[in-house]
Amino acid sequence: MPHGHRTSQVNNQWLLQVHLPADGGYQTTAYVFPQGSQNVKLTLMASLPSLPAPIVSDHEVFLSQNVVVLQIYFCLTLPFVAYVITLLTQTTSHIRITSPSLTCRLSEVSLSRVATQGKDYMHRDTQLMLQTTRKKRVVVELLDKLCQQIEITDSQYQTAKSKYEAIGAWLTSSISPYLQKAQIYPQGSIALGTTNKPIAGSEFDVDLVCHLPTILIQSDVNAVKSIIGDRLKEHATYKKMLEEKQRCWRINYANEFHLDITPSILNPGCYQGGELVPDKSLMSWKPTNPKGYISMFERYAAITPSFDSAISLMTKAACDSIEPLPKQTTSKPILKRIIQILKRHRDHKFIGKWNADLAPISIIITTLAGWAYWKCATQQTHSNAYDFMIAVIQEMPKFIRIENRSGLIHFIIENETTKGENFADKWNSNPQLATAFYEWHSEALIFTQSLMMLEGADSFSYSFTKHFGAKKDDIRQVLAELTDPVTLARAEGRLAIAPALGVIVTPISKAVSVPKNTFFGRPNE
Amino acid sequence: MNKTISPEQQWIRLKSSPISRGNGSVRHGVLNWEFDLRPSAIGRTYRIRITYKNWDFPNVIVLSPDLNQLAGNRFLPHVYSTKPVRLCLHYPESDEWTFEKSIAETIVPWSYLWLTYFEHWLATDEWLGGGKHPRRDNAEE
Repeated sequence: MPHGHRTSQVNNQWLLQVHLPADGGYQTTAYVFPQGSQNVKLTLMASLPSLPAPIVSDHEVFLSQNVVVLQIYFCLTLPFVAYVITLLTQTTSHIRITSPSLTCRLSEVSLSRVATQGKDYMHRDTQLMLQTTRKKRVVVELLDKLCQQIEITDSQYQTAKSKYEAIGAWLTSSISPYLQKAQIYPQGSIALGTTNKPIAGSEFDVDLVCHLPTILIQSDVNAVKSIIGDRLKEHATYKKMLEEKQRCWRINYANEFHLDITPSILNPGCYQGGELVPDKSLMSWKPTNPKGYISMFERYAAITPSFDSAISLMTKAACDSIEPLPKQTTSKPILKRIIQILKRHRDHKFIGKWNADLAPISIIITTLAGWAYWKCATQQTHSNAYDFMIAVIQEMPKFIRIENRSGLIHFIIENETTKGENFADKWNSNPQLATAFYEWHSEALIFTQSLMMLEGADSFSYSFTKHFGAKKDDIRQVLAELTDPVTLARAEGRLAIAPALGVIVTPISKAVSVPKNTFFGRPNE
Repeated sequence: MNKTISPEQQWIRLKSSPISRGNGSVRHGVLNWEFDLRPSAIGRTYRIRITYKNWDFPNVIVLSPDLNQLAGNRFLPHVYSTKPVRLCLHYPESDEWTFEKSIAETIVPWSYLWLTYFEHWLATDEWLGGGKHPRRDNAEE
C-alpha cells in the first residue's frame, strides 16, 4: 500500500496529509520554521472526529536557526487510514515534513511546487540538492569518525585478547577433565565489533563464554559455575582480581577492562549448535547461541547496500560542477557503525538517570538493527549512505513481534539462531521496558535526522556533545577530519571554491581556485 | 605590466563569478557588493558585504549572523574590527592582494576559507588557518 504525506498551506493553516501503512504504528517528523522569535503554538487535529488523535511527543527540540522539531506518532487501530491533520500556527514561515523512507517522494513534491514559482528557482533547487547530497556525505563521515573516537582501540582489543587467551590456557591446564576440554571465546559487542568505550569510567566489558562441551544438561548450574571459579582461585593473580557475579565470574583489570566469564554447555535440543547458560535464578539452564549469533550478524553486516545515484545523475546533468565521488563507505561495515551510534545515544540518555535500569539492552538494539539493515539493504534502494542509515533506524521497531495473548500484549524479539530465547522477555513482565525502548528509539531517530538541519561545524560539535556525550578531544579529532585536508590542499595550492559546495580540496571545473594568502589582524588573546 | 582593475570592472567580475552570486552597485567610485556565502556543505550561510574604491584595500564585513554572538566571550581571531566584523584576509605588506587583482578571485575565496577556519575555531578554540598578527606594540589601540 503506498503511503506518504504532503503539506499545503491555506490561510495560515498547514494541512499535513498523512497516508499510513498497515503496520500498526507510524511516526513522522515535522520541522517548523517560526518567524521571528515568538513562541510557536501548534495544534494538531485529525480532520475526522472518528479518527484517533495523533500523539505528539513531549520533546520539542530547539536547534539553531529557530527550528522546532516535532515528533508526531500515530497509533493505529484500523488497517489503513488516510489522515488529514491540521497543523495550526500563526507564526510559521514554512514547514518541512520528512520521513526517511520517503525522501525521494518528498523532493518530487518540493520540485513540482518550485517549478511553478519561476525559472530561477530551478537552478537554486539543483544547487540545494547538490549541497544536501554533499552534506549527507559529510555527516556520515563525521559519524564514522566519531565512532572511531568512542570505540576501543586496536591495542586495547589486543591486550584484552591476550589476557583472555591466557585465562583460557590456565583453565584448560587444570586436572579437571571438564576444564581440559574448555573453549573460551568472546561474545557480545567485543565479538561483534560494536564495542564503545563507557561514557563514565574507563573500563569496558569483555564478555566471554567458557564452553564446557563434556558437561551434560542434567548437571547442577551452581556446580558447573564453581568448577570455573575454583580453578581461577588456584591462580595467585586471578584470585586477587576475581569477583563473583550472578551468572558469571569477573576478572577486573583495573582502569582497563573486565572480563566476564559465563559458563556454557551444549544444548542437545538445538539443531543450530546452540548452547545453554545459567538462567538468572541459577536453578536451570537457558538456551543461547553466541557463536551462531555472531556468524549470523556478520552475514548481515557483509551485505553491501546499493545506493542509487538517480539524484546525483540529475544534478550532474543540470550542473557540471560536481566532483566525481565514489560510493561512500565507512571505516567499518555501516551496520556496525549504526549500532555504535545507537548504543552511544542510549548510554547518554540513560546513564545516571532515575530510569537507568530501563535502558534498552544492547542485544535488542543489535538484533533489530541487523534485521532492519537486512531489509533496507536487500529490499530497498537509497540514494546515499545517510538516507540508508536513517531508514535502518526507522525500520527497527517493525521487527518487534507483538502478540495478543489472552488480552495481554506479548513482545517477542527472537534469537533466530536458537530456539526458546526471547531477547524481549523482560518487557513482558515489566512493560516500562517496552515504553523506554520506544521512547529512546524515537529520540535516537530525531537525533540522527536532525543532523541535517544543523548548520555550522560548531553546531555539530554542540549536538555531538549534548546528545552523544562527545568529549572536547573527540570533537577536535572529528572536525580535524574536515579541516586538515583543507589545510593540506591549501599548502599544496590545490584548494578551490565550488558553487553550492564551498571549499573543496580537489579542483573541478567551475570552481575558483584559492590563491595563497596570510590571514592578518588583531592578536587573539 | 598589469593594469589596475577599476571598481566597475571588479563589479562585473563579482557579478559573473559562480561563488559570489549577489547584488551590488558602484556609486561615486565606490563598489558595494553583498552576497551569501556557505563555506562548506555543513557550514552556515553568512551574509557578506564587500566595499572597495580605487587605491584602497577591499573591506570585507560579515553582516549576519553576528560572529561576536557566536563566539560568546571569546575574542575573534584575525579581524580588523568586531563591530562591524571586518575580516583580515591578507598580509598588507605582501603582494597577495594588489590593485591589479580581481576581488572575485582573491578576497572572495579567502572569505570562504576564513569562515571555514572560523567555524572550526568556534567548535574547538583552535585557529588552524595560520597567519600573522600585527606586533603587540603596534596592536595596542
